[in-house]
Parts: sequence; structure tokens; C-alpha cells
Amino acid sequence: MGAAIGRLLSLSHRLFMSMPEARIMMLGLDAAGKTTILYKLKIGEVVFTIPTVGFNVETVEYGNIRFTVWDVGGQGSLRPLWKHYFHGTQGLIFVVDSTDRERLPDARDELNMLLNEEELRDASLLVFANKQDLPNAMSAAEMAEELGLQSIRHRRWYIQSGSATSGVGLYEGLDWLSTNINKKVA
Amino acid sequence: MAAGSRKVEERNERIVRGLLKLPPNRRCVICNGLGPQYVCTSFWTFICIACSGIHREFTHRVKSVSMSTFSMQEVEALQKGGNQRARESFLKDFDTQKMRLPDSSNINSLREFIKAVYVERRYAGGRFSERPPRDKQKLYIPSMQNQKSHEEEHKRASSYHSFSQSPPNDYQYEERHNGKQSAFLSRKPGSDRGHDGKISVFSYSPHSLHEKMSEDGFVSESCGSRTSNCSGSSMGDTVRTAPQSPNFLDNGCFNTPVEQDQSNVHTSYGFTNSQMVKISFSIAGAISAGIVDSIPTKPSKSSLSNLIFEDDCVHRTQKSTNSTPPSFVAFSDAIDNAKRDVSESTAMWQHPVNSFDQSVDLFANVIPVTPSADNTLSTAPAMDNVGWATFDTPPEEKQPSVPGFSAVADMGKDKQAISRDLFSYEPKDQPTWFPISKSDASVTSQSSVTSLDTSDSQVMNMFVALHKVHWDY
Repeated sequence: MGAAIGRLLSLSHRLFMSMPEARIMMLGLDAAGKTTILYKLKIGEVVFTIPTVGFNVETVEYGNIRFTVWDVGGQGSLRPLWKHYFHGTQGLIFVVDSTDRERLPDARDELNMLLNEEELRDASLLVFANKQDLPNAMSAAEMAEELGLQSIRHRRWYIQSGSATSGVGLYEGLDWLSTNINKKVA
Repeated sequence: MAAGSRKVEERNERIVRGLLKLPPNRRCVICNGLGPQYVCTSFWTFICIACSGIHREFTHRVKSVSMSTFSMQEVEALQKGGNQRARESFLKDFDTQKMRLPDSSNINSLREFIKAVYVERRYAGGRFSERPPRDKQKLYIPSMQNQKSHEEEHKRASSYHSFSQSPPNDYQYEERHNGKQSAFLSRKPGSDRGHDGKISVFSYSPHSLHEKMSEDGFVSESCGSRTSNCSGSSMGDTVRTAPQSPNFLDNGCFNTPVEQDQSNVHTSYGFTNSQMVKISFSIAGAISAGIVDSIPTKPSKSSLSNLIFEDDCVHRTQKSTNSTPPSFVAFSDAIDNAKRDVSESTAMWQHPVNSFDQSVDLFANVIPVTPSADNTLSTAPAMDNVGWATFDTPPEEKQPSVPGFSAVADMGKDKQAISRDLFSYEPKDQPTWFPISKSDASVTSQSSVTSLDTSDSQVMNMFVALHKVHWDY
């Protein structure tokens, strides 16, 4: 009974107080910090994470938009599975470990692969240069260069540097996304 | 070509799986759990998924055996490494009679263990100087980076000078600086760069630390951190100053209780007494060691200059810091005042975070305090987290992002996050890398299957299932 009322309320809430929704994929190499970002956004805390096998999904309301953020495991053999999540994606957050110079070419390849995906054609790209709090982190400019962002055509993109553990830069990134995705009203 | 590389991959995976069957590798080297499925490529150990999560917190690299591919070099390194080797080198001095292995069900205990064994290398005995491969990221220095390191070195130096407002500090700084230069040359480039710039942050440790720290704690810490700090490479400067502070030597290090507490106990194992004498004991040296140890690992780029130029950020961070006078006054004094300094600066050892690759003594007493600077200074820890975004790079490569700070996640929480970066200012008895309370909110309770340590096929099945769910969603 209570559940039914709850459902009714939530339905009416959705009908009358509709909030634009955005489906966001958060991808990147393993240990880039995707899960940490997701839960920093969701609960404002740095949670203990283990390598994601599968995915995490949370809704985050920010700036009058309800973001549904999908965080999919980034280990090597999980990456081919990303494509199963693409459908309807309006925004892509590509998370990169700014201290991982060695694998930056890998990140670049993965990103290029994503950008060639038909289903992500309309998705805006936010590159999050994570782990800026660590020594030896590359600057956003440096990473934009290494990732070849300048050569991206026909797509809105933005690189935001920051740190998932401190939360710095996360909401700036969402700010950019919220103004640069094609919102659909639920 | 592609087929060939796949063949190699398959072969490598077979080898790695074969290594997993060796008795020492059948259990996680950290928690002793059965059937580790991950490899820590920083130390070439086999670990379980949970411990791999902890290793990641320390920026160690981990790889799943089933979900990643291994290169020939990695396989070779694994063959040469493995859990047995790791135990032999990292737990050489680990006395199982006196010390307990971590409680495998307690994530904090495991975290402390990893920190002690692999970060501080407390039990590595004399092998501390022959470092096993560290993070590959740190070994990997592109040519551009090398250039940059010189620039940064220069930049740092100049920024320090700009901060040196009192002659004695200048003098001491120079002395340390010289000492450090040699240290720099003797180690891998990049392996320790980046810590030194952080002295600024360190120096603002809130007063509360000061009050809580006991003299004992300091004394033993100073010894411990010094010795475990692999300071052989920075010996030059400490040896030089050693004769000036015999008192400290006596009062300090040789009083170190061997079993004082877990964070202090094992730090001096790798040294003979005479080595300790050589290495540790000018007050300046010891203090600086403590400082360096307490310095958060932060980008060298965001150096002192942040403090000055980021006044505009200050208002955002004030609530998370105390605006009591920084305690680093202690360091500005001459070596003769060793003992007084010791007592004044006990707070510095609140967090004996011995990152062995930080040998940057020279920054110890660089920062003179001026009353007018207090406000800025005291807000620095949190500010520093903000600061990298705008000021850590030369103007020409100023980052395109971080437009203003209006909507940043609330900074109150930054304090927690900061502790992960090694500069927790909360007065705690045990240093924590990570807010303890948070660790309860682990991923294992999340909506997905993240905690499962599954075989490939299971993973695939799960994905198929999950992705169906998502269509419904």
C-alpha cells in the first residue's frame, strides 16, 4: 500500500515536476577513477573501491538536470563491452589518470574508438583529467595534446582537470555537460 | 600480426596462470586470501581484488589476470617476482613472533599493512636502497618530462628564494638545497620529484596537531622516519650537519623505544646503530626528515607559489582549517636551538607518512612565517587541492578548465579527501591514508557486481545480463 502510494507520488512528481534527464556514460581505462568520481558525485564521499567488474549506475541531480551516470569497468577485456551501454547516451565522460603517462596512448586509442561509434555520434565529450592532486600529474593542456582532442571534429568537447578524491573539478565538468548536451524532458 | 600478438597474449596468460598455481602465489600476499586474481605490477605480487583496490589507493598499479593482457616484460618480471620474492624482500625484517599480520577482514588494517610494507618499507631491511620496480608511471619519464624536471627544479628553487624572508632561513635552505641536489642525481629521475614542492602545505599544520603530539612520539618518529626514509642518498647534508647537534642524537634517537607503537616500531630495522648516527642526527636533518615524511604527495608544480597567488580561493577553504599560527616557526631557528625546536615541532610527526622516495630535506626550513601570512598559510591545505588547477603550470600552459570555483563540491568534505593525499591534518594517533568512515561505504554494497572475482565467462554472462537490465532501465 505504502509502496503504491510512493509510486504514485513519484509518478506525479515526474509528470508535473519533470526534470530534464541526461544519460551519461563514464568510461576510461581501469584505475582512472571512474567509480570514485561516481560516488563522490552521488554521496559526496570518497568510497573504497575495488576494480569494477561490471558497472555502477547512479542518478545525480545537479543544476536542475537528472544525470544518470553509468560507470563501466575499464579493464582491458571489459572495454569491448562498453558498446552495449551506448544506446541513448547524451554525454560521455572520459576519465583519464593524469599521472599515467605510460598508458596515455591506450587512453587515446580507446577514446578514438569511442568517438567513432555511431551510437555516440551525438554525445558531448567531457574529458576528465583526474588525479591532479598526485605528484607528476600532467596538465589538462598537455593531456589535451596527447589525447589529440584538438583534432576532434563535429563534436562538443571539453577537458576538465580535477581530482575525484577532493571533488575539485567534478561539478565544473557537470556544469559544462549540463549546458552542452541535448537534454530530453522526461 | 594480430593473430601473432594474440598468440603471444595467450601464451603469456598461460604463463601467468601457471604462476598463480605456485604455492606462494595461491594466496594473496596481503590478506592471505585464497585464489588471488590480480597482479600488483608495482611489486609483482599476486593479490586479491580487495587488496588490489587498496593498492590502487597508493597509486600502485594493478592488473587482473583474467581481464587484462600481459606483455612479455611483465611476464618475465612476474616470473622473477611473485609473492615469495616479495615476502623475502619486503617482509625481510617482519618478525612474526612480535608482529601480527593484518586482519584480513579489516580494510583499514590491510591498508596500514600495505602502507607499512610497500610504501614505507619498514620491513625491507637493508634492501631499502635497491628498490624493486616502483610504479611504472614513475619510472616512465618521457624526454619532455626530463626537460620539465629541470625547469621545475629551477622554478621551485626560485620560488623558495622568493619566500625566504629571513637570512637564517636562506642559509639553511641553501645548505639543504645543496644536499638535495646530490640526492637527486643519485636516484631515478621523477621518482621523488613532486613531493618537495609540498613543504608549503605541510608547514601549515594546524595548531591542534601541535598540542596533541607527545615528545615521545616525536622522538621516535624522527628516528624512524629518518631511517626508513632511505636517506642514504641524502646523506650528504645530514652528515654535514650532524656534528652540530650531538645532544639531539643522544636524546632523540637512542631513546627510541623499539616497540613503541605500530607506526614507529620497525622503522629503524634496516640500520645499524652507526648508520643511524651517520644518517640521522642533526636536528635540522631530523626535522627535515620528519617534514619530508609528512609532506603530502602532491604535484611539485603546485608549489609555494600557490600560497601566494591563490588568495582568491582562500575563502572557499577556510572552514576546513584552523587559522592558528603555523608551527613551522620551529624550523627557522638555528641548529643550536635544536632541543627547543624539537619540542616545538613535535606536531610535525603526527603523521609519520614515510614515503621512502622523499628525500627532499632542503625544503625543511624554508618558509619563514610572517604574521600577515598566517591567514593565507593556514588555509593552504585545502587550498592546495584547488590550486593545481590554475596555478601549477607555467602561464603558457595554463589549463583551459576550472572556470571559477563557484560550484565545486562542498569543501568541507575536502578535508576527508585530502587525507588520502597524505596530508591529513586531523590529529589522529595513527596516520590514515583514507578516511576510515568512508571505507565502510565500499563498492561491494553497490548496485553492481563489482565485488565478484569471477572468471572470464562469468563476467561475460553478467555483462549480458546486466546490459539487458539496462535496456529496461
